[in-house]
Amino acid sequence: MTEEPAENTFLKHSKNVLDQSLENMDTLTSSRLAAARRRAVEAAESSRVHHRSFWYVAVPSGAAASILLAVVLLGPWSGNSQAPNVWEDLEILASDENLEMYENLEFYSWLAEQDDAS
Amino acid sequence: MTSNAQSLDRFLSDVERRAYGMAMLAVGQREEALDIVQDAMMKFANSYALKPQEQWRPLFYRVLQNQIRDWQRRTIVRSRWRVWLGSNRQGEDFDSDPVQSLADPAGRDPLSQLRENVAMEKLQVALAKLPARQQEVFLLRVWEGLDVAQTAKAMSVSQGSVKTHYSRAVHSLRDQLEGHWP
Repeated sequence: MTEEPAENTFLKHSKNVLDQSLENMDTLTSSRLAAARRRAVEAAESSRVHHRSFWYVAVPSGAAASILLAVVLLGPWSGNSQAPNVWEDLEILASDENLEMYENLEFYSWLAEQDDAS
Repeated sequence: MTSNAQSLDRFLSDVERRAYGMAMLAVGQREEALDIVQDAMMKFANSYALKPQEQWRPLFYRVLQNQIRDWQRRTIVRSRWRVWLGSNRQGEDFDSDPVQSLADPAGRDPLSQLRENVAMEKLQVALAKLPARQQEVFLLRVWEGLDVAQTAKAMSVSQGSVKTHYSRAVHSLRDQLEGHWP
């Protein structure tokens, strides 16, 4: 068998194995996925589109940041040089918004490139 | 239900199982994988349901990959703090699922079920050894059937990067599974 057909056979078999793994999905998982889908469709259909407001984003992020900061500053370990880098961790925990903010911008820039190319 | 809602329902119904499978391969815990897919569906529906349908697939997988990466980052931070605070509770999230031990819903005989389980187990082990980017690109290209441009967009990387990761993933998987697979 030459290289290309061998690779195609491998890829086809991989896909089959992955597909078959989903056929065994238990009823509970299937129904929870279906429920999640229904909720998502209802949310999209609803006239009250749940845009994330400043407070929706800021309150949970601020609360998490405050708790983490309090733990570090008030804990008995304060001053321990082995402590994880709290600022780095805060940046990671708060970075969810960055991903979403860039999602739209990058995607539409990509679409424009695709249109230009075609 | 409006026609757009029906289309959205059909689209999510088409991708939900593979999305869950990808999340499971990435995080390894059912509850976490379900939460990730649920959040991805909700964010996708709220932000992109009114966009043209031909854009949905790469957009949905971008949202899903962001959810997975976000979970991974938070897990790293959490485990770092757990270790430091002396309460490393690794393993407590792994619970046995009694539903998993029920009879095969597809009604296959035990031998073919075992054969498929072994094949999937080998593939899972091989996939788990891949770097995250290679695993993502392999699943999006082979399982979801995204083309190079769509995969690049879903992963927020260049098309060249997709080709490189894909080639390395395929070679690595073939090396690992050689002799076990056709």
